[in-house]
Amino acid sequence: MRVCVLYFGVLKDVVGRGRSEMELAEGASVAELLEVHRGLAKGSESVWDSIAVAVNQEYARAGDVLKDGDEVALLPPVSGGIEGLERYAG
Amino acid sequence: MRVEITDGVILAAEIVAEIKTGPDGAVCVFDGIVRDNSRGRKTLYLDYEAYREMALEQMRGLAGEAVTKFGVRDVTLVHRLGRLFVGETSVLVVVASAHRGAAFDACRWLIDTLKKTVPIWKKEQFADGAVWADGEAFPEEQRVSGGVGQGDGRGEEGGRASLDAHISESRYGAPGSDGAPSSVRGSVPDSVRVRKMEAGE
Repeated sequence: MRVCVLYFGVLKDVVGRGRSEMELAEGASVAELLEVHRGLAKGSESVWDSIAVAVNQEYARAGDVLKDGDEVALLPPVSGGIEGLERYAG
Repeated sequence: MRVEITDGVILAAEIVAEIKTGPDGAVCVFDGIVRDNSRGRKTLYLDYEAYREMALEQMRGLAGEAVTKFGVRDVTLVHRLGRLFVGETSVLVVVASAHRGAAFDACRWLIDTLKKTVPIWKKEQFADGAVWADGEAFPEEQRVSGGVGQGDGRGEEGGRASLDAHISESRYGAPGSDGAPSSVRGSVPDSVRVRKMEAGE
């Protein structure tokens, strides 16, 4: 099955693109999709530790099973509004 | 309820004037504006981006929840995206209610919750570099926690309810573990690579 993965905020910089198509085995979970991504950010693995994941625009859990055509968004901690802390990525 | 994500200027005074009706005894406004500094560095401007459709849906949900939860009459939530300069409004929260207590409470809850759960990010541009602003940890409800890091023997620390709880390094498996589960065949192109963000970018 094929899913569309979207990257936002600092993740877009880490991965180097805003979206990608991924081929996954039937029954793959959100956790498995994340595991594939860990290897993409050598030296910046910690970036994956604080993210949330949305599947078809709803917050998802690690165990949720993906299906063909899903839109999976990887979301770093949000920082809309005003104020907030800052840190350097990478 | 008026809930919007806009690329244009937020006309705060007009929006506030519009919400008022006869039964209202209080209108509480939170006008979030771009500050000229962050941690001692001079801010030139902020670039806001969003997962737009989801952000709007989340904002609609919050507006409705605020009405139910605090018993206020009406709520307006507007967030701006794109490049914002010092002094410009990035987010506007307006709550109309018969009494001030509920209006204050709902307004505070709305901005605090929006900042934790609505998928919007900002990159701060300083004279000497740019950084993505650090967000607060996602509340338990939005976290992807549970069942990740399988097979690494470190277990799982789900169930932490504290809003400021930090997610441990072990949550998604040991750092550097790149053995993808056999059921997953990633097809991310070779062109995908790590790019560190550095000051001066």
